[in-house]
Amino acid sequence: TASPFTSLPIREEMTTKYSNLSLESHNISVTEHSCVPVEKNITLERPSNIELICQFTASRDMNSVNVTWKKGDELLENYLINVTGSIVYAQYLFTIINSKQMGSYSCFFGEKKEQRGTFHFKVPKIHGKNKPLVNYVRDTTVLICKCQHCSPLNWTWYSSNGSVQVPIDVQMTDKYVINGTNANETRLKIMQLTEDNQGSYWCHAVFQLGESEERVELVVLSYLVPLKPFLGIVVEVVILVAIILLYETYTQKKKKHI
Amino acid sequence: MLQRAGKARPYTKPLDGGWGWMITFHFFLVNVFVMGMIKTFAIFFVVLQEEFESSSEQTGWIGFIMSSISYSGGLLGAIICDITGEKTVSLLGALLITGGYLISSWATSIRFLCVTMGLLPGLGAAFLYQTAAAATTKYFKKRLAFSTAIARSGTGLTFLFAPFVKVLIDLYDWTGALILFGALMMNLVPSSMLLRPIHIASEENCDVKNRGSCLSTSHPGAVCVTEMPSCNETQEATIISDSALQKAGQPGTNLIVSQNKNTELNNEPDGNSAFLITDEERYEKEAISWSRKQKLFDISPLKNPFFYIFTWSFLLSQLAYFIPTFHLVARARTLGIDLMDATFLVSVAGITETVSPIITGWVADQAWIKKYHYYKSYLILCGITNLLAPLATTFPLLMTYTVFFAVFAGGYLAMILPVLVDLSGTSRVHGFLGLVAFFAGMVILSGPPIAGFLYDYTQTYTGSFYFSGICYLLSSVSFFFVPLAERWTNRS
Repeated sequence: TASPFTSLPIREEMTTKYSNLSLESHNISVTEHSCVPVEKNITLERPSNIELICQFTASRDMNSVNVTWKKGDELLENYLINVTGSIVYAQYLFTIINSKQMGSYSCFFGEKKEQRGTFHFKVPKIHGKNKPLVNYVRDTTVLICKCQHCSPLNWTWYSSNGSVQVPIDVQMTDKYVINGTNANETRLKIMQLTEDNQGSYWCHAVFQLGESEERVELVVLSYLVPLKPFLGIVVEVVILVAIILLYETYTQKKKKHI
Repeated sequence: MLQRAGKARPYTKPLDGGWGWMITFHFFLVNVFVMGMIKTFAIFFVVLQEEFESSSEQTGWIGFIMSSISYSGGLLGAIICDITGEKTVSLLGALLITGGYLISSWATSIRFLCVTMGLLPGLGAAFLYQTAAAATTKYFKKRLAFSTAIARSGTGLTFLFAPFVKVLIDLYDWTGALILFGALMMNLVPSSMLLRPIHIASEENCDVKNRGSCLSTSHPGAVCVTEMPSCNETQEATIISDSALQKAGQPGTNLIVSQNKNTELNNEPDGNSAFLITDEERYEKEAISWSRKQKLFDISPLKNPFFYIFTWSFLLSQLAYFIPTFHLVARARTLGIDLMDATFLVSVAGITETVSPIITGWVADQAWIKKYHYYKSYLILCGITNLLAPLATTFPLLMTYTVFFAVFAGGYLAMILPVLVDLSGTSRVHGFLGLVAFFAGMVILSGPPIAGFLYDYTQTYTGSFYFSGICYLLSSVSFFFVPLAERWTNRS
């Protein structure tokens, strides 16, 4: 959809300073009768120029509508308004180059808090495994974190006992090895597992615009754990076999006596 | 194992009840565990593929080998059975499965698993199945269809295995899950011990060349009657009266007459030879060595036209059976039915397939018409149902198809064993079943690839249903030749 705003001074500045960055355009439509604020989630991986447009439709006089833009609670300036018929267009142009500029941007129409649209900017989510990884003592396991359509600058791993995240000591190369087959994946290989290694591990993906983290759960069992049900079944089978053998000898003895 | 001193005399007549129900119970358990093992492989498949990072084709080979050996291995089982008896082979089968799974938990590669999780359990499954089926045919005559149907209903319970295996993998990882699953299979060991030996007053070598022979129970005065439903009508029941025995010798002496038709016993009517043992202790040994006189690898079924009729039909029907089972859920998904409803279809199919054989088996046992007519009709009905399947495009229609198919499929599955017995004769079930299973195993190998190929080629699952329907109709065709084959065997 073409922007209702033609070339404007601010835009020119933007195109010269950050001309190598791409432009992303996002729209939100708010009506007078919205009882719920309208929201849009935007995933952003690298710095870009952003154009946010809020479109407000109402039946009353448009010129009296008070339009404001806010980032969080902070009032923003340098936005443009265009009134065409019964629709008000509010545009905010800016550039996101670091994590400070990420967050939620809202356009407000009038005093009512419900008449607004919000754009949420987030870094891409990464995915680990939602089920815990079960392994045994002295095994080797690989924890994997993936990012579907993104390439982080860097990956780091932390282990946590409780709430504190401790970085993995990569110097212990006989225990931990971090590598990834491509940029959108990271693997942490842990060797010679012990029961202490059990717990939560966090993989962090570092982007220019922030960090994304995901948790992977590791469970380490000793060999005794499945051994108990195994022995249970073996005992049950032995008992059944004994019962049948006894029954057979008993019936044979009975037949002999007859 | 069979030669313990003072053991009871084995049964000699089909019981149609009594201890026979224990055999049915064992067969039921075999169906539950073996089918469960084969079906849950799909769950292990996913986990193993992830663990060893192999392609789905490579990992799929394990399941392939397992399913096809579970048929073909029956031949080996039949051969060993003739030597050592059913109980030993069944125990061996159970131990093979357990051992295979236990060793698999130490697997380091897919190739390793192809042997330990494909070959060994497959072979074990074949042994278990072969012995259980053969034992059932020996213990039941009038109620064969009914008892087989009850045993087969065990496959309906296999849907419980899937969530159970999932839980095992979640708790103990695939290594622990394999160990515990293998241990669970050990329950087939005590169940195999229920297979008490039975030697039917048999119609062994009861084809047109030799006259009837029989094994009598040991004490004098016993009447030996041969039961030979599929024998030539010119055979006469051989009755050895008291007088003949007394003339032959004192009780307590051994009288072993060779099986050869040329030997005659004193005053024996019609030159029928008899095989008398009057000494209990040597009963078992003689029976076993006598059966050893037969060729170890009995290919006489290959000369029997009924064998070809049955094998043709069995192969095609088994091939046709697997394909809708594989593709039902996928087809439901392509029609937009969500996963919960699709799995509900599978459960309904499972339950119907559990109940339907019991009813059809009971009906068949009433012997209103010959059993193979039922078998033929069910196959035709299965074929028609599958050909109409592509018309089912909504959930209610698909459910209707599932129910009808399950009813008819359950019907013909219940009849497999009774029809086999009718065509082959009780004593030759082992050889017959072994050979049929062997050929079936070869063909079953092609089932999943054909199904996959059909889908890839036509980009829709309707092709699989058409293929399956045609296979079923073709499989029923061979049974129209039964009267012809009967006339042929009578003439020659």
